[in-house]
Amino acid sequence: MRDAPDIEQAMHAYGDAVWRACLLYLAPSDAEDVFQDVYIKYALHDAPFRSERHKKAWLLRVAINACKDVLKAARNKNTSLEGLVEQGGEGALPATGDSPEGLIDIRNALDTLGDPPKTQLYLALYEGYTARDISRMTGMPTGTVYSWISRGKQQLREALS
Amino acid sequence: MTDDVKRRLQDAFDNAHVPADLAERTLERIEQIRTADQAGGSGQTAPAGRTHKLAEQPAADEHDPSPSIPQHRKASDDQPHLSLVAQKRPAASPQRRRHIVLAAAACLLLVLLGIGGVAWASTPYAYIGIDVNPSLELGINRFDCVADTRAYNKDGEQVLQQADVQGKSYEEALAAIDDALQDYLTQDAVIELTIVCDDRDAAARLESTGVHCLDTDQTGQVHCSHASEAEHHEASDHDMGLGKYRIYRQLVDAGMSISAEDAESMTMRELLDLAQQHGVGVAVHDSRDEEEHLHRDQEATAAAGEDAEHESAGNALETGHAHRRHTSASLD
Repeated sequence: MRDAPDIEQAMHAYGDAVWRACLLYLAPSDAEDVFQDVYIKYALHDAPFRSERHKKAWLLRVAINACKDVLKAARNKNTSLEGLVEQGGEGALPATGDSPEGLIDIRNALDTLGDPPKTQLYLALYEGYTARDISRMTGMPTGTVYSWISRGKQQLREALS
Repeated sequence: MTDDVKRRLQDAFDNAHVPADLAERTLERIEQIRTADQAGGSGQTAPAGRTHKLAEQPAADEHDPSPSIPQHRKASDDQPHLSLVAQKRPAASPQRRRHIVLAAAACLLLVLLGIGGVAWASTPYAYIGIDVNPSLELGINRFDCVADTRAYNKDGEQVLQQADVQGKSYEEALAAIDDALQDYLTQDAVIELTIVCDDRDAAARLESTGVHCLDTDQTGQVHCSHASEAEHHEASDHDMGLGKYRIYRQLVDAGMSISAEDAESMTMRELLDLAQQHGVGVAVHDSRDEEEHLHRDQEATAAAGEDAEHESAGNALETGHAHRRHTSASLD
């Protein structure tokens, strides 16, 4: 298990990035759960990372997969997606990190595009990852990532206007 | 343009930060796990974090005020808290699977090519026609072995049966055939060797080997020539050996009324004599140089007179076929 300073450093450096990725998919309350799970998993992940870049990409990948799993589980239990999003938006739960208004709008716009390309667009446009990185993080061929991103940019622009 | 979109993303997400207490809570929880692990933990106190409402409880709306210890979070498990993230990703991610599939496909392709290659090399690419009286034909594949045999008359069958050349190398086959032919070789017999092969170098090689093998007593009784695939087909249609067929063809073209059966039943020697008697130039040519060689042959025939010299078919082919005469008289 990684030592405390290590985990603190990772949280200090990449906590925001992980948190934002969680907000991309989930309401704050669920995002919190996933956030914790991600860092617990990090703490238990003993294998060394090749670089800080690698570490961050790993954390984001785990976060995104976890969020998607939550959504899938919710779908399976017939909880509507809209219901989830609404919850987050209206702050149905104590205000530990409400999603800002602007974020909700963007997230809705991205959701209309579907996923993919939502994940790919976020990783490319906000986090600045290359298509190759994204392909490794999402398990999708690089060429496919390129097409999703180029198509997605246009669609997102339309959805936002 | 994209910058607009980017900027909006940035505006939206830049303001989102990890809630301070969340960071603390997470770190605390991790330390609790560490303690529990180190203690070789048997029990685990409920962490301060929330339960995973969506994954566990059907009523997704309610927030359970008294966090009970979720069943799955036993400290005896290695990763007790990671109900959501602990699902192992499939061992072979889509990309790795793709690589495996590609590698398998490449192997399969290589194997098929290999099999195809062997199959291709085993089929005949050249045909050797041998006519004396017995008329037979060998199909030679790229391994230089006999892949195919065919007899055009009874005697041919006999020879083939005796020699038993199927699968033998070219040279072995010729040696065996030569043995078997001895019975049919009269004093002045002519062995007509006809080579059908597109590859000039191979044709030359086949010819020299063929002549060498069959002309064992150096009497110069072996004629050699090259034929085209078209002629091969024609001969085969008429059910005649190539050597005989060509002479028959020339006789017919020169106006003689000889039937195919008659031609078939004659020996090469007889056919050649017949041709000479009627002043038919027995040109062993390939169709490209037909006229030139006919002309030269007729000259040569006249020059050589009535002598039944088989080299009266004076035909140094200038087409590059390494046509070799192994008797001295050269009429070039």
